[in-house]
Amino acid sequence: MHNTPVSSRALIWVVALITVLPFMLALLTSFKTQMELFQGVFTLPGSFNVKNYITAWQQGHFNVYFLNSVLVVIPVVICSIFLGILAGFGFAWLKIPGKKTIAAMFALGMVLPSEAFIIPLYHELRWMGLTNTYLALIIPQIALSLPFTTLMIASAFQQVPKELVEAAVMDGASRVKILWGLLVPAIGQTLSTLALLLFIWTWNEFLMPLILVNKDELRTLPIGMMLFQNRNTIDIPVLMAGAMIVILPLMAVFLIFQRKFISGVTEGAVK
Amino acid sequence: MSSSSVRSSQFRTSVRLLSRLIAAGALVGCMAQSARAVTLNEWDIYNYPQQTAAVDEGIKEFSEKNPGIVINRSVHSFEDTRIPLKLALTAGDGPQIAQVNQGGGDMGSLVKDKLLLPLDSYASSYGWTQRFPDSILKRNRWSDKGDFGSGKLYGIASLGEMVGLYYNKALLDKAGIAVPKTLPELESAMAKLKEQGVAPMMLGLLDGNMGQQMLSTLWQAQIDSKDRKKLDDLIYDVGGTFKDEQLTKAGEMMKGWNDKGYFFPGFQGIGNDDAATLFQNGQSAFLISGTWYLGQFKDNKDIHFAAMPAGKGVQHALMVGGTDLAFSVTSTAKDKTQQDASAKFIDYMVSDTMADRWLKAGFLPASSSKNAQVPADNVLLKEAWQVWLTLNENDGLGHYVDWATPTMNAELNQNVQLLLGGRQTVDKMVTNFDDNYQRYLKSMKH
Repeated sequence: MHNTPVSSRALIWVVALITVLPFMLALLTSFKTQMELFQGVFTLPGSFNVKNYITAWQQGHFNVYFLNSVLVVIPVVICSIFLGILAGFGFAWLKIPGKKTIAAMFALGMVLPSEAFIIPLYHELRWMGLTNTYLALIIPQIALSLPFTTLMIASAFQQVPKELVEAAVMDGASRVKILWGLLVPAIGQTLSTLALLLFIWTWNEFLMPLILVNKDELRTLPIGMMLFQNRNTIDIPVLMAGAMIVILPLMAVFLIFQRKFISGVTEGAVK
Repeated sequence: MSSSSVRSSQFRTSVRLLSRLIAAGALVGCMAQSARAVTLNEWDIYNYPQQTAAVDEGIKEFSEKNPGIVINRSVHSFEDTRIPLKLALTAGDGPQIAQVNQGGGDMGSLVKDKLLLPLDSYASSYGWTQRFPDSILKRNRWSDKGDFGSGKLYGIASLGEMVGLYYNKALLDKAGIAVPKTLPELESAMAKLKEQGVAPMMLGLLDGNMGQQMLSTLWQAQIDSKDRKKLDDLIYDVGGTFKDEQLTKAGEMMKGWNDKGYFFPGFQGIGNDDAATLFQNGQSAFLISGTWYLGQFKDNKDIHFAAMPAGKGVQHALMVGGTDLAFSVTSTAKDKTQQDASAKFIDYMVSDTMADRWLKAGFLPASSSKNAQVPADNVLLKEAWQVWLTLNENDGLGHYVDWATPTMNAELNQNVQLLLGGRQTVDKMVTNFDDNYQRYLKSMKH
């Protein structure tokens, strides 16, 4: 960084500022009253009280929704990555009949907007007796994550030097051992990036919880945000406080994973 | 039946069983009911804290009076009731009682798919038809052919709303102006305020709705409630034309007010809620908007609510307005016991007891109960309640014009914005409305 010329550094700072500014404004707004909101976007709130946060937590039923979001996101990330590793291994290293067709179907899964299949999905889950259960939020979400996860993991596996794998085969290691002992550790940084992306997507998923569950005790955070909007009025400061509560875990997760990113990038598979 | 289909149906059954077993955990909670009580699931959109509390109290009282009926309430947001409700009902497991948004896209399509129950027999036995004016009930009527505004009754609403004139009494007193009762009086009041350097009329045009509501209000202020049929027919898609003298006049008025600088400066870039907050802070003398701001405005004791000043020579002017989402009984209320119990609950939701509770919470009930108790410390609500009573006595509740066609909302918003931006004549605007309307009528051939 210290070798970069001043002009490009300045540019980086400007871009960073532009990116962060809306979040800072949302954060500021979340402490304001409706009255202060209106005195201008950049004015500071009179006091940094957490009234709006308490309102959001209680009115928006965030105590329930927060737990639900956590209960959904953890199995989704773990299962998606586990299944993605298995599928990615198959795509990258095994000879499977009809691989091309399967790959094409996976690609299709990536381009279909969820609005296109949400109604059939509802009826399917209803037939299985799963609507209004946690599984309705978890299983489809895993299925939706798989195409991207598989693709990313398969291409990461292909980046692993062939010599390493061949050496392991020579040593008589089993497939299971090669996969879990060699390949998976080698793509650690890809997996952590993936986990982060899956976390963000699942955390922010709106349409599926909206349609597939309609019981309050199963709703997730993005649905809770809707409760601050009436037909004619919106309580913007409370809405922003709610948004902050939703964003915070994402930021925390990102900060934790970012360290892994960097360490993952610097550690090569070939020493 | 071939052996393979037997196998596959066995497989299906086992998959079903398996998934049902998995789901059973979630269902255990619902099993614990006594055999004799009727259990009803109810969906409503009262998610604001004071509203939610009022409904909870209401359900508590209802349950005490009717120990044989158990109400399972589930609160939704407005958006959250539309597609999910239809899906749940289509699949056969939705609530027995639900709040349904009026209009073709929502209630109309549910009626068409036979997902709602006609309530006419209950309406006469519970006396809803006497307690509510025609103009309110019509909004929830659909004929078997799918005509809006006539035929069977499919719902009844608990809360009312109308668009009227908010004024800041302190500013009017300072300028020595009485509260205007007619449109000409309103215009001269605004001229006087303008001279004295006070912004006469608040407006926020950014979202569009406020401009649309002002145009509709000025239009309907010139229509006497005894001549309302023409407007009703237009809105309920019976037919008619938007090339209407009074609508043209309303458009010219708005244009004239803009030319004279009566609107708050910079109104084009201000949103609905911001405009309301500006008005609340004494930034203008008048605001034409709806009763949904009553709760917000009651903090400022200078703000009052009045009936919309009427057009010249109009005895009982119409006011734009409506009710909130109607309570309906759905197709999931399978047997007579459930249907009767659902209707009984809805009757409670529109009862005078509930109306008093709404008033206590600071909201405007849809009913017109003469003996209602308005809390003494809420002057603004009291004023609005009086206006509401008088309005319904004369059957004067008008219409949100955007109900006329599915695309009329955007049409109205854009044209009013163009008009006040000086890029559209009144005649062209009215022609655009009519084109939109006639196109829709053509497409609606039953």
